[in-house]
Amino acid sequence: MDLINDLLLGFQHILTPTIILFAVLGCALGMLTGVLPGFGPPAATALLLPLAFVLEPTASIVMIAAIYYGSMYGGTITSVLLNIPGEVSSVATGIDGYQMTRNGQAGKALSIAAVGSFVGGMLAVVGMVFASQLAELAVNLTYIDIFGLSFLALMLVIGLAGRSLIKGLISAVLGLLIGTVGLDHFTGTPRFTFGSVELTGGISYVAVIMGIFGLAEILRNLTAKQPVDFSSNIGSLRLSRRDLRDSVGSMGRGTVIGFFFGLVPGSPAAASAFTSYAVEKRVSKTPERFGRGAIQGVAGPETANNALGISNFIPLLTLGIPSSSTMAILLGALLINGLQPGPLLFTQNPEIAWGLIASLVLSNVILLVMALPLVRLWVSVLRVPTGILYPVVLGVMTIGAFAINNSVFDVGIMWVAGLVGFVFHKFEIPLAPLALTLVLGPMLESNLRRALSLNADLGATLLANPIALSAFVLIGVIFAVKAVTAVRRRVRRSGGDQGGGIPTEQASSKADTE
Amino acid sequence: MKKKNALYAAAIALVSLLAGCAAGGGGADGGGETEGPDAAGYPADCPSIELLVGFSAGGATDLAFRVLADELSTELGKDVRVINAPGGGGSIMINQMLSAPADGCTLGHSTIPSHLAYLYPEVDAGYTKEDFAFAGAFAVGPQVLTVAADSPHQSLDDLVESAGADGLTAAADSPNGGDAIINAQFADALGSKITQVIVDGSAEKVTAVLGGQVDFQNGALGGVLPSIESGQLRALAIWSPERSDALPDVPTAREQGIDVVAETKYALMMPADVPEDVRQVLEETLATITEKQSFQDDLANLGIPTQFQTGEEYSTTWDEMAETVQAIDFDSLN
Amino acid sequence: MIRGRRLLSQHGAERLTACILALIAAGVLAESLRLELSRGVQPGPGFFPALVAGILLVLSSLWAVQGARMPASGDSLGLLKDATFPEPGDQEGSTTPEELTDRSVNARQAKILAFAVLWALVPILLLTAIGFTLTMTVYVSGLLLIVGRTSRVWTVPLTFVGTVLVGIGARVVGIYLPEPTDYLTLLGL
Repeated sequence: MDLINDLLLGFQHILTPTIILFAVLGCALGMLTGVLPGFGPPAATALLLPLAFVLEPTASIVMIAAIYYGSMYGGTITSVLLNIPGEVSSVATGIDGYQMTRNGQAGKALSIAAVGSFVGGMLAVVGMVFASQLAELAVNLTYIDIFGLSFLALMLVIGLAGRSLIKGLISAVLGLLIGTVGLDHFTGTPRFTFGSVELTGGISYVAVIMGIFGLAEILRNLTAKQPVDFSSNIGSLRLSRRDLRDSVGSMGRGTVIGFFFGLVPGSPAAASAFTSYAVEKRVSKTPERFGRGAIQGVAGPETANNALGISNFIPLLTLGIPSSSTMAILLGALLINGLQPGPLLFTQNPEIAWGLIASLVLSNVILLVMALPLVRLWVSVLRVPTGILYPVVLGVMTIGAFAINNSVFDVGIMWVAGLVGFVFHKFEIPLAPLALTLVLGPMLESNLRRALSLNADLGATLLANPIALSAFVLIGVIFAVKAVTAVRRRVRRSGGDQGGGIPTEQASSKADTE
Repeated sequence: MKKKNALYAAAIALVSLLAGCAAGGGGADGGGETEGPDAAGYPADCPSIELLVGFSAGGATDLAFRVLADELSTELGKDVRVINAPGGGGSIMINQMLSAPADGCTLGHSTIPSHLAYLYPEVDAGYTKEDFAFAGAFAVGPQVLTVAADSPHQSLDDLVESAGADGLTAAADSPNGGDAIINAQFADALGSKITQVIVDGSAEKVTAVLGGQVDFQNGALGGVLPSIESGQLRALAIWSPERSDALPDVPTAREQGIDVVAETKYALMMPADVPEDVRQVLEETLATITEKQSFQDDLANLGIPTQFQTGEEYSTTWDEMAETVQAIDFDSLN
Repeated sequence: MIRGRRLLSQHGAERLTACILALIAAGVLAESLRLELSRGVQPGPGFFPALVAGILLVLSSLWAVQGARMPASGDSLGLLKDATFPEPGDQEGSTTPEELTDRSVNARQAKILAFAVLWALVPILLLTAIGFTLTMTVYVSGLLLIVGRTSRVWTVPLTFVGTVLVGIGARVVGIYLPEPTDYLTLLGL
């Protein structure tokens, strides 16, 4: 087959000692810088952009792709071990990943993350090679379609809300509000900026998640009645056959979710990870384990992340359109070297185009080989007494927050967010909805306004766009089902039947104050 | 077992450090080896020069200034590094530049018309043109009107004729930036309405056109050239005074009866209080650089022809553009 | 369990927070009206914030009211329960036992929090003034000494060395941290 030949050509081009070395260096550098919270793939790839001036095209492109890859995993490491999401896509992984660490299963969490990343990446490359026409379909999505789909994703919030719907919704709504701070993209008017120049750029998402997850957790542990100490609870590092079996489904679903999200230009990585998490919780036979350290809660989002990372390349390679800031940097590297991104790359420089694709496979393998043995090393960080660990981590987080935008303002944001997160924990308000809506809010508003600017008649627009229409119909159905279920539950409860046998856990918990 | 891991980790760290040194030495860090015949002594005592760019890394503007920074390092014998400070339509970067000491160690990118946003009343910029000193301009970026390749419009006339009662729709990346300035003047010349759909960035503008959400978009030549050459976009007009060498078959808007001219100018600026001798050295260096073939070739890769202007000339161009922009009513577009 | 003096009671704290949220929502609503809810047929910059603030106002009122009724009459509106799926065996509350019932803040905890927050002002105010190396040495040493209760003799010098190494590592990788005099470049990096 032609495609196989092309792929082989690509491999031939990159499997030279120098380029392999660059790929290894890229992965390693990516992992190391990804561990620095606040320093995610866009910043890591931007670091290497100057290299594009110096090295020959293939080497710099391979290295940039590798560092992108490595930094995605690096962000996961801190998210799982310390609940500090280093970057946007690690937030969802940390929800259960960190709980796994608390349960003494940090090693398993990191290992399944590495395996999931590998699986997601490899399958996505296959998808990329054989199904790249899908990118053209994604381009045809209208703004109302994207609005509808985003709204559907917003419904996930309800699934993430846990016990109290009101609190979950409050969390979600706060996320929506925080997202409105900054310049209104449509009219250029500043909203809620109080005259501050920094706020004009909006409130940095990375600073907020570092605060509400990582910092809040540190503050909680510092003020806990019994000081938290993980060093005695390291537990097993290896994945058992059962773990893998449990995670296979999640990895499969995660790949599909991540792959499709990556095709839509401008779709945020966080949305894909959260969607995968929510899907896993929904299809799981034991949904109550989510939020307490379910391995599927790590496997799904991590796989989705890497599948998205790979499929992000597709619009760049097929249409010449970068779908994220990291892709824009890669595009820059191509342009600097006089290469044409897009389909022309395949006709004019096929060895570079296919070499890039081949290098993604290579980076996948390198990452897995590097990451698994290092799991032991990362987990041993937990042995450090918290008295020393936390000050160092706080120092690192301060630098990370500063590095987002070269501004101490973000450090302040992180601390405000940290206090907010602390308060949320006290009142048992879930954080995940806020993390999701902070990303979805701007998308919802922008796409709705774009759709309206093209046609002020919303009804007509909806009717003309089947995808949007089906999305809202689906939302309506979900609401109806939930309402009916809630009513039925209340009827059943007040009918005297306590809802079936009460498991021993619930009976012994004094928190059952219903 | 612990020792093995420690060694492993140390090895990786060492290799990364070495790679970093190599990368750093070749790129941002130590690129300041004097190659020019007379390395002009930079009249300011800076260990390195920071060039602030108000756009994200990898974007067209950012790349152009990285190429410039590279050349400046060579010519000045100092390490010139690009720092990205995106946001606020450039205001974040401008404020950062203005709050740095005016010692000549912090420079800023200047592009017009995008930086003219401070003129609008709703933008509480906090600075004016008087706060800047210009070293000069080094390039001019043409803007091209493009439609999807499968669009029925083969020429600007076709597009104009299809306007009808509802007018045309266009994708733009800001309500009052470069795109809007062109669209407003275009709408005036047409005598009909142009509705703008504001999207996030130039990639999304192209997506909007390809997906059929809007009729057309105005994009920087360098950004749309690959898509034009690969047959996905069709260029109907170029908004420059003359045709571009990169697209010789695309007529200018003027040729086709729409008397609107718009280009982006790329320049180098610094806080107004920076000593005059620093500014002059930079001006002379810019003049030298724009003559270099390597520089012209690098910018050609980005679709940007070089064009030198002294600080004075750039300032005049700025005033002229400001006049045009202030006469525009943007509300008609949105 | 350490019994500290409670500064704020459980329910009081919830109600207070709910009220604060309601106030914030009202404020946002007011500002949104100033920003224009609509421009002709199109939603204006104030539309979305106003909508969201309105929802927040409703939600925080519900929360305040419900907090007042807890735990006496229980949750008759069914709003505290997860309205999605019936989840058998689902425990209320979070993972560790001590957080289930304690929403108060005692004096000791408040002191730790206050210190952590105030000490964070060190990097915020000084980072761009006296540079990365000095600021972080002070910051991390302070945390180590007070929170971690490490040795007074060795902490500061070790932290200083560590900070310098991190600074070198960052520079090598290409991350530029603020310094009053760029000694790393002078060192030839």
